[in-house]
Amino acid sequence: MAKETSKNTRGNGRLDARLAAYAAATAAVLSPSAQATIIGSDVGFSITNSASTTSSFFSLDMDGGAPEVTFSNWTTTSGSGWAGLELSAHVEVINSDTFYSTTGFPQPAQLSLGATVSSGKSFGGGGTLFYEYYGYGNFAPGEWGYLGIRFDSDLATVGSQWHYGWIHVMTTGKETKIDGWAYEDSGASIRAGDMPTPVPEPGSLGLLALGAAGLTAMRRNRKNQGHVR
Amino acid sequence: MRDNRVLLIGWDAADWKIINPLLDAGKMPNLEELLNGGVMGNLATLSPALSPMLWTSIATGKRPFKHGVLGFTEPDPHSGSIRPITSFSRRTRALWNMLHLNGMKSNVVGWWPSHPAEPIDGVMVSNHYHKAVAPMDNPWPLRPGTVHPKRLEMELARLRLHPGELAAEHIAPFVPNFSRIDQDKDQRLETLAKIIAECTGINAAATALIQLEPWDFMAVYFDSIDHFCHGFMRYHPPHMQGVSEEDFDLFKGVVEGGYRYHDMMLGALLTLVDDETTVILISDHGFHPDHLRPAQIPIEPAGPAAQHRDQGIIVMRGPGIKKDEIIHGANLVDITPTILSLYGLPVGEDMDGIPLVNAFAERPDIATIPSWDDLPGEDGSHTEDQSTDPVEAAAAIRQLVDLGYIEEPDESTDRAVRDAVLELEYNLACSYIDANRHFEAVPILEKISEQHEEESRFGVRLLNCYHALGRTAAARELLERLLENKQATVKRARERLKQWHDQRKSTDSDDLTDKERRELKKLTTRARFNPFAMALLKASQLQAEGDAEAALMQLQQAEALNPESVPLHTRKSEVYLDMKDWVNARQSFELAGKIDAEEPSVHIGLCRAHLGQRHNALAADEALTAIGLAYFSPVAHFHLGVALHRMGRPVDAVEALKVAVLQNPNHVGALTRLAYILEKRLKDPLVATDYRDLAKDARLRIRDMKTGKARPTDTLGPRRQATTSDQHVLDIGPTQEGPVAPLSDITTVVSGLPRSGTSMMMQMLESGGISPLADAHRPADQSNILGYYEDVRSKALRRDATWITEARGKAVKIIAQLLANLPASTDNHYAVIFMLRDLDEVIASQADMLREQDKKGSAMPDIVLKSTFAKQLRQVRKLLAIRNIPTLYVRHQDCILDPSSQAVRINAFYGGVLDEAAIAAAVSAELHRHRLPPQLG
Repeated sequence: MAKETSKNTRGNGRLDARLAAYAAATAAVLSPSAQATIIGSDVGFSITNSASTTSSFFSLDMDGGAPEVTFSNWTTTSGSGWAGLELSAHVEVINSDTFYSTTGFPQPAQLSLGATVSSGKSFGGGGTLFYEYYGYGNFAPGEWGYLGIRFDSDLATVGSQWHYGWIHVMTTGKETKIDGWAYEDSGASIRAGDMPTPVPEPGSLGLLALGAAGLTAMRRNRKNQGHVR
Repeated sequence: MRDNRVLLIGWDAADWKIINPLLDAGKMPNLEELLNGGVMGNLATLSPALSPMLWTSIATGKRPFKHGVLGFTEPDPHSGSIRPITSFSRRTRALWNMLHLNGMKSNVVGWWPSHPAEPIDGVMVSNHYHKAVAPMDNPWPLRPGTVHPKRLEMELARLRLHPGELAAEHIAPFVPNFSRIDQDKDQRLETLAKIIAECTGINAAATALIQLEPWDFMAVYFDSIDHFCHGFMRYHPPHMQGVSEEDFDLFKGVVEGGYRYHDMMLGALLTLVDDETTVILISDHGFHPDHLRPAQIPIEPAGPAAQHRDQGIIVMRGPGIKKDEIIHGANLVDITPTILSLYGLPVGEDMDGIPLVNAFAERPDIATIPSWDDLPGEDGSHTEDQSTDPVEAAAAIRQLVDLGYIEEPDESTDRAVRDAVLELEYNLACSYIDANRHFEAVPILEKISEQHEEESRFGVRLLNCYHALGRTAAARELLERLLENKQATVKRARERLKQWHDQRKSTDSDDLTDKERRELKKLTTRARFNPFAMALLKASQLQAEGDAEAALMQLQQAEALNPESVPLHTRKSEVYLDMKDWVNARQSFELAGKIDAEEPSVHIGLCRAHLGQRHNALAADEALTAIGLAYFSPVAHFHLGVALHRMGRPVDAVEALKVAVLQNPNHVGALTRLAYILEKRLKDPLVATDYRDLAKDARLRIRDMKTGKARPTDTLGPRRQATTSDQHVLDIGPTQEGPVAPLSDITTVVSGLPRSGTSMMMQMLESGGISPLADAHRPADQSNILGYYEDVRSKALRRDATWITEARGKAVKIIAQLLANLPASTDNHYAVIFMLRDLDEVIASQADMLREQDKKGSAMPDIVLKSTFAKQLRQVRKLLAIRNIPTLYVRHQDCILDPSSQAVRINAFYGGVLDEAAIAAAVSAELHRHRLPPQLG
């Protein structure tokens, strides 16, 4: 057959070597480029920190080391709620420029979706998210917003390897919820709400990719959960 | 079922340039597993790289000018407008028909084009299956003809996925920050959801059928990678100029997500086949993902194809297939011959592809037959009546429009049909050019470039043909004309652009309608000179005329405008080759190679430059690289042969030169060198003499082509079983029950082909007691001396059928081709009197009438028109039977020769309530002017 022609001509060692190089070139047409990676939580979960008459708190560990942030709620004896956060030593949050006369300190800013969290922002310590009695704090009660955060995984030299991230938070004072967070692993900036590209299996997309069985399973699951398509 | 089954998976537009980094990153594990156990390589495409043409070439082993599928749309004879290309356009057997002939079962899912589904042994799910055409929660029925066999319709319809069923969790892997998008203003998420849903539906159908329906061959086609790429490749990294930060940030992961999703679906399919199954994964073309992405898409039909790359992919794994190897030189026309070889079936000698023997661990025995189309037997294709060529059918309808029996289509519809046919013709010409058959392309391009002077693409193609055929003087004349036309077009467009802006001075650009935007874009494009393209055209002409210095000057001007163009550098190099300036030639080709290392012409050029310097081994290397990228390249095989000859490898050289001659029988250089080597080196003077004679013949043919003495032997290849029986044309069939209603409730429809005696029958019925529904729109004339008895509204029945109720108790004339538009209603008691007349008489009579009216008609040969009419009649008769409409078939000649007996039949049909004698007396022999002598009838 005709196609053996090209095969026969490859008997020459030099030609064979050239062909091998050509094959390698084809296989490596484009090497993968280094890309920043966003690491973060799954979408859709929610942690609730409900206050009692004393106080309650929970800590969030974003990078698998020590917790970065501890959210606290406290209800005073008069029934007023306070929500705030404490930061570990190597952690800072974006603060608002607004100073509250009663505290004299900047407080964590409530960022909108898409706001940039980068080195150009004003970072500082934690503090009050919302204090019901006085009405201060930058977080509007009951409204979801983003905390801009940075932490340094190199505890020895704080500030040498900042990672920028966000936490999606809502508080009423007596109760605080978070339902997602993420940070940029490379040290690059991140935008509030940016999520990592999840490996699309074996999650929901993986189920769809299974074909007829997966599609049927998805529809059955939704029906069982009471979804109307 | 056989043990050695074949699963063929099609990923439209899949490209190694994207896949390779994903494989390296472990992001396509299922593909990785597949290719580790088999062979992989490039799969060269054909030109034009338009998917319906390519996938039909894949399924037939033939180039488009042989298989007949030539574009995206075709005329729709039923609506009078256009429709997506259908399987009716295919003129030859596809793989599944060949397998059907051999008693094998195929399951075919989504192939493009495969609508309407063919009645094959197995299952066919057409390319309309997965398209969501209705909003969420609205009924979403399958189009008729989507699924064969019908028993599977319901189940398969349920396996489609509507985009509205997708949730955030399905979109997030592609666009993690989708919540930032305002979907009221930005449709891109909707586009994305549609693509995901559609390919999920195809995969669901495929996974169900692969398990539940027996098969020997299974083919699954996914159009989705192409759609991901057309929609989102511009956002794919690296960041492309002109794309905003925001868009890049949002959509940069879509293409990668699309590939990974396909890998997951591939995984699902692979788990459902055993080790004895050969799996073949292919794409029809690639898609530029890098610096070769075009900045602008040409504003012309199929313009987005400019984003396609010439190399697709092939992966093949199975028993008897090599493992972990790269194969070179595969073309998509090789797929059908390869699969036939896997089954031990013969390859058609009329196919353009050959089996990929270098993929097999052991060379298979390959038998051949002249053509699969010649084998008799049931093949699961559409019946002869259904497989009317849409272009021919539309031309037959045009004849009836010109005759005044069907309403003139509105301007936009008419234009749409003309544009669709124009593109089909243009693509046919391009397909010839791709096969080096410039000679056949010339008459097509000469016709359309003359008719459409404002569109320079036709003329530019023609210019290339003239150059390829050595018609330098004709090329010069054409070039001058093209330049003049372009100047005139630019001037006109600029004037219109000025008017356009003057008229809309107060309109904000944001307030323009889509139509206005398109018009503006078109005008702006036409108002623009492309000095770069002009300089390249001039340089080609000057080079052909032997003025290398002047050609180089033009090319230097072009280079100043666009230094990063591959065609520029290859043209420049070729001029240097003509000048025997091997060093500059090589340098220029190397520059082109830096821009696109996978362009075959660059390697052919380098080969030639090396040959000039007697670097024969290097030349052979480059020729092999070119052949690896595009196997169909007589020039590359020829130069490889020259290099090998000089290297003292005459046997290898002869093989290469034979391939060159096989691919281009007019290659005089290859023929004479073959003769020389055979005589002087291999001492075979007899065979050498044969080649010398062939070279002589080729020289004569070339001379005739240059001088215009020769004419192309064929245009579009013949249609399989092109002729059709017209036995039924005069068959009155068994006596049918007449209408069961009082005469006052019956809507009588007199039908038949125009000029088959319908007016005469109207007159007969009127005399017998059924008054006509007619107006004076068309008065009596030479063609119908007693009047036309027609209602002008019947011509527009496709558009409006509401008036038909006025025909109750009366008779109305509706030509056969419009009967399908009769509204269905239980209140309408239809009765059809269908006139039958010898088709030669009908066509002769229509021709007379056209002449009298000074109209052109279908412009088709009578034999084609006759065949098309015969098929249309057969379809209408079937339709009447299916709808159970009482029909009386009456022969025109019987009315003339024996009106009384026909009056008896007609009266009996109506239950004896008509005036028989009056019916018979109404026939005037005068009407029978056009009956042909018996020997012609």
